[in-house]
Amino acid sequence: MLQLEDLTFAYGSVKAVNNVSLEVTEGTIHGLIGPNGAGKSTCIDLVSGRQRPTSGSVRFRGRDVTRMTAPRRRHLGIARSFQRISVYPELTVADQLDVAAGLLKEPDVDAVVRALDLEGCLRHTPAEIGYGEQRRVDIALALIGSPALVLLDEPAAGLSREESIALADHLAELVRDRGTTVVLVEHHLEVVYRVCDRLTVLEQGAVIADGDPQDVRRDARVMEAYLGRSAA
Amino acid sequence: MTAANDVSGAAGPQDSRSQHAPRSPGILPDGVAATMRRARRAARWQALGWLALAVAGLGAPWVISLYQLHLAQQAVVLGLLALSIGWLLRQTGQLSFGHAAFYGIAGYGTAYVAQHTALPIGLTLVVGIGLGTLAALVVGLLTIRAPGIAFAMLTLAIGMLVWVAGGQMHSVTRGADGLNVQLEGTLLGKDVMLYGNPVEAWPVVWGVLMLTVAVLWFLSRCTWGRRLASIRDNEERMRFSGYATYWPRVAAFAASGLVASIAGTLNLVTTSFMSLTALYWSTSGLALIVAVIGGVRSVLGPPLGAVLFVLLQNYLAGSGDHYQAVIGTVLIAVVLLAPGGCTEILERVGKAAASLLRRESRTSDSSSNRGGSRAAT
Amino acid sequence: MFVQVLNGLAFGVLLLVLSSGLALIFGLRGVVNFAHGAIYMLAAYVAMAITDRTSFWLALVTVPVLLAAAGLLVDRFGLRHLSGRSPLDMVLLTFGITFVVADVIQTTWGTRAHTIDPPSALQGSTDLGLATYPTYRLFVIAMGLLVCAALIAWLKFSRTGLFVRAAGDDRTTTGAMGVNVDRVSGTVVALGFGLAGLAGVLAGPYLTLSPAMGTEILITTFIVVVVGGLGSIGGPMIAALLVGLAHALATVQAPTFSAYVPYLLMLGVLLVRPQGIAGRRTAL
Repeated sequence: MLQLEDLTFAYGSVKAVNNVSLEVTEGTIHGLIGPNGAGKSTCIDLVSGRQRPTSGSVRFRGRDVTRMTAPRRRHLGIARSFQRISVYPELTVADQLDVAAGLLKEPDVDAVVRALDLEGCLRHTPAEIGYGEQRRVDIALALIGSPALVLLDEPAAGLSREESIALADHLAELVRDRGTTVVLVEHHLEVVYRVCDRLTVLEQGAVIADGDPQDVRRDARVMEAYLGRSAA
Repeated sequence: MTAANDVSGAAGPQDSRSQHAPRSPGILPDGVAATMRRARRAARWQALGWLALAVAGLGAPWVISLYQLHLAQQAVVLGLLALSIGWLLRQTGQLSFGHAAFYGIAGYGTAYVAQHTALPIGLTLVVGIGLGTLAALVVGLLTIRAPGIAFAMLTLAIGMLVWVAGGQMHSVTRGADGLNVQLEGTLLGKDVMLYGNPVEAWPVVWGVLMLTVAVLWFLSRCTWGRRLASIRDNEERMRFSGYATYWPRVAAFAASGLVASIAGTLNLVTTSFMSLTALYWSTSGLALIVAVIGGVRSVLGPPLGAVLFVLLQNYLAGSGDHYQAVIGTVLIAVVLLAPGGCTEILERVGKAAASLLRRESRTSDSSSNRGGSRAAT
Repeated sequence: MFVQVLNGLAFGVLLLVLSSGLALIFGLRGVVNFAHGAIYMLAAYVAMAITDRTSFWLALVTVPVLLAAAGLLVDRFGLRHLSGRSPLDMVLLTFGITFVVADVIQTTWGTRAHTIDPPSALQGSTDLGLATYPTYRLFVIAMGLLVCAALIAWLKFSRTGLFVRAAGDDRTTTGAMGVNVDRVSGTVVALGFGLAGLAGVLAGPYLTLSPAMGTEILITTFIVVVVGGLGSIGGPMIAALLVGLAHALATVQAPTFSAYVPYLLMLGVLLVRPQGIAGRRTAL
């Protein structure tokens, strides 16, 4: 449902994303891993419309969305969360979810609230709730309106192991129940192997491996480039 | 008064902000809709408070002297301008130093139309206000993308550009001499010249203020206003929730310019005089300061600040007119010590009084449990 | 034409000194000093008072130092308390200072215009071959360029300078790296105020002193910073000379139009390149 074709993004002379092509299949959780600075977040930015690529294209359900603005992509069904939690600091959780639900014509925002276990903090502002809850609010904002594709940028960052696993299971459930497709950028490998159906490994802006998680795990280049260092 | 004060789009009940960690999950089987409904119920009390104030204010001519009424009228005009700037700051987080331009353009525009065309007075005022609003729209289109501080700088520069232009367009503005205007016709059943008398003008002046307060209050609470507040809080997130943020912000700026224009035209109708000072940066600056001192979180804050300023200026008038230094110092103090302005101070005082009352009643109920109740408050 | 270029340079150099101070404070604190024009004006008036009693040279040395001390106080008792709050609160604080300074000047020196005579060594004109040119203005140009060179060297080679550049690049990262913004902020704000003070003293014998001078120059400085790019230090330096030249040329070529020139320059840049010559784009 999502194709990246020869996608390149350059800051000056540095190519953060270099000729990346990959395909995400409907109804799967697609992991995107790699060392810091590999271009994972930039890929998410390019797909969600936060950045425009230097060259190449992004196709979503057969449509070229490369030059489309972020709000239009959201209405088409591409939603995202942020690595640095992005919520509304002065609004109560209920208020921010309600505003988003109004924009995206979400009839049952309470389902999202229940799915992410946020009932307890609706009346509070982000400053008054815990870090894990703030993360879930960020993800809830991405899930409102039942988007077909959700891009999650390190959703488990800063969470404890238990919270991360719980979050991973939430995601797996989501895909099963709603048929949502997820692109998951994550450093936490336990989470990645637990839920991902397919894995793409990036290094220095380029794809170095792509395929079934178990195969990728055994790939020599991946072990050397990534797992060799950070899984040690 | 405090009941009518909170216009924050973040409509949550006030007390939920102060109590941090302790939450009681069992008591609230909350959904988003239920939480929002509770916030709306609180709004009803604010509406009642507004109504009481609106009616009470109409009685002012019977209570205060003609001179005081004259001052009150000045305060209303300044309060409207402050309200336009304060509402913009509250709702969009943008600090405008250029609203004097819209205020002045509306005033001079009204005067120009009155002198050079034969339009009925009602239409003349509408055209004048329209000119000011149009100017705001154009400025908004150009500047709204500028991030926070650049926006403040740009609006100041554009405001001064209009002042420079005003000084050069001598035939329209009469430059530094000022422009005396004789408006003619019947407005709301009265000869328009009668509005030069504060007693005759007061119901209209007060009505315009209270109506503007009500409309802006409503705008803050309606879906659009809440979306604006969300943009203020986190524009990028709003874009990724599917909201194109450019036009709503331009519209908010234009709406704020409309209020400034109304203030400018109202000033012309009640004084029949325009001077270049109306366009100068200090006019915007004063209104902004007044708004901040009054408190922008509430739609009643900026007018309250204007009243305080007019009282202060009048009080200092005998002792060599140091109002600029005093108002500047007060601004610095407010920014450092009470960023919410007077309305925040009143709110705090109100809350302290309430908790004091509660403590009193509790201690009289059970004098044995004294220490415990103090710990609880 | 040659004289006009020199005029442009003289005015541009004033803007250069002013906008550098503004850009420094912005880079570190993320706040634009709305009191910059008022500080400049205060410096000019105090310099006048000192020149009348003793000499211009004494004013040239002491006034910037005095204002730097004032900057230190503003940072210590004002800006520092507001770190963590919205930058707009700091804008309001500096704006409050503007009001106070304006009042002090009006009550002390009145609203009429004043002038300062240049010191005797710099009176008269110098023959430059192509034209003769007022000596004092040449002095202004030389001083301005000298100060800028010193500033650039300081930014490039000193530890504090390095830190200021880093903080301007990315405030959150620098903070996260454990460097304490508060520690150098006193120095930087004092430097910014001192530079504004220097510009005020230099402007004294060259322009006219009036209670409106502060706002006029503040607006032009803002335009310079917006054209040059908010957050950059080099961009405004180029823009300052550009605006100065445009201003001087327009004054002669199109006098009725000249007041608009800086504004038009600003609007043009804004439409073509909203982030300014050297600024980064903060919000898409």
